[in-house]
Amino acid sequence: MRRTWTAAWMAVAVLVCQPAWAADAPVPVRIRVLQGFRQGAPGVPPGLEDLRGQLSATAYVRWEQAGEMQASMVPGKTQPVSLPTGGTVSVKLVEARQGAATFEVSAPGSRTQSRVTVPPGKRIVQQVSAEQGGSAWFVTIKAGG
Amino acid sequence: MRCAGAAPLLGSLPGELDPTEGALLGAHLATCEACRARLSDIEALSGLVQDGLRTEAARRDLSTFADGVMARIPASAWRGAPAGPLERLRAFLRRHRVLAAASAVAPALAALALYLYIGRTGGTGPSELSVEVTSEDLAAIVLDTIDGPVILVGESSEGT
Amino acid sequence: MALPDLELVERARGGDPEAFRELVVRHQRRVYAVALGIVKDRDLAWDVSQEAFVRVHQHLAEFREESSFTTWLHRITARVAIDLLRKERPGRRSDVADVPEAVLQEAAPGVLATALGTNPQETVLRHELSARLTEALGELPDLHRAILVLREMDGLSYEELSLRLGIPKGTVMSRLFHARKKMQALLAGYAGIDAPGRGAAP
Repeated sequence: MRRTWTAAWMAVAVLVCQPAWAADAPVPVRIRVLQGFRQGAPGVPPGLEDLRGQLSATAYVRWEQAGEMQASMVPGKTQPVSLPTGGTVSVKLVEARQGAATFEVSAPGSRTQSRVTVPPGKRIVQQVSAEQGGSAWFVTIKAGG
Repeated sequence: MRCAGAAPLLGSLPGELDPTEGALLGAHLATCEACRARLSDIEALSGLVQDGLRTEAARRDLSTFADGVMARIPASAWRGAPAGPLERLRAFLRRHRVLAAASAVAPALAALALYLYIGRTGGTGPSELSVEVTSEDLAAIVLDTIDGPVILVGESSEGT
Repeated sequence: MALPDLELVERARGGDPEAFRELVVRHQRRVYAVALGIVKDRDLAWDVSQEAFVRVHQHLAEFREESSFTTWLHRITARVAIDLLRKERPGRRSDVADVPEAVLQEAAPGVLATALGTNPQETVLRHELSARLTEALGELPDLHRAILVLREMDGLSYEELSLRLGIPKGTVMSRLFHARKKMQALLAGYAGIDAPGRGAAP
């Protein structure tokens, strides 16, 4: 679906584009599955370069991407995300409106549920498994692709 | 202050003398070469004491020392106290470079919900970050970075 | 990969013996050096050092991460060593008083510092004196020695020494002063550097 632009935001936004989503229109959401490791040569693969800032906040120094999807999500719909370990993370778009998108993430592996509202252009990085053997699983969620 | 009064004060650390004493000592040292020399002696001795004891200690074969310590600790003492949520949170904070990375950090203790709201100033539309995290039995931390929130979980009470 | 002390403490608290062993190995030599300085006898120092670590383990749960593990460990070591010396209670409680002028004539000021200068020849002297350091320490009364060692090895303040030893701050200062004077006289004697009037050794 097409994104629309709103001039009012552009005056103050640091971001180049700020999509506004019509109430029930599907929203493109990019979801990636990552594994972070405490050990090993520090670094992120080329595909994860854009995550460097957020990933460097954690104690994990080496990263691998295990999966990626582009989901077209409508509010209220749950998108299951499989982890290579066999578990499933549920991502639900609660609502998308001007200035913010709200997601609910349910991660049985880390016994965590979250509800996060982010401004456009921001990405959620969430740990979805408890650390085991020096590594942990994460998902990244960004609306707008 | 004369040498007799100054001598026992030599080698004091910052803050150990009250300001008056310190000032009098300083004034005396400025004019008394003998007491300055005594101070050098104190420093020289300090170096020798440290060198001497370290050298002596280096000569001792300590390869069985740790074994001896471990043998003196009963096996039952290794069960380890279950860490409460606050201890686990502290451990968690040390394991992640929390302070370096984030402009806002809000922890959730185990089994408690965290609600974090960070309002943005400026802009014409609502532009907020809010995070609610409920974590059963694990501590959760939210880091607010420039690209977006990073949600981390800590350790369970069963240990890693 | 070397884990920081606090990480090892955390793991040891959780019941990990290897983490605790790592802490012991990491700090044993320094602990032994301090213990040796205070109790003189090598075997006693070994025992005191082991006991210090055992007590550390017993009290792991109480350790506050805000202070450093090393500081805490050394505090416990000092306590164990001093407990051993506690048989002789300190005698008179004297505050620091002006030292009589006569006492100050014992060794010329600056003699030790000058002798240990940066000249290569003087480095040999430094090695010699360093080697006889424990011998000189052994000549001091127990309390004087404990104060000097804790002051120089652990940088304890007068306040801390006063608390640790249960004597007034003034007494700490005067004991420290006398301990230093005695050490300098002993070391000057070993090096053949004598009081004024008899000339310095080359």
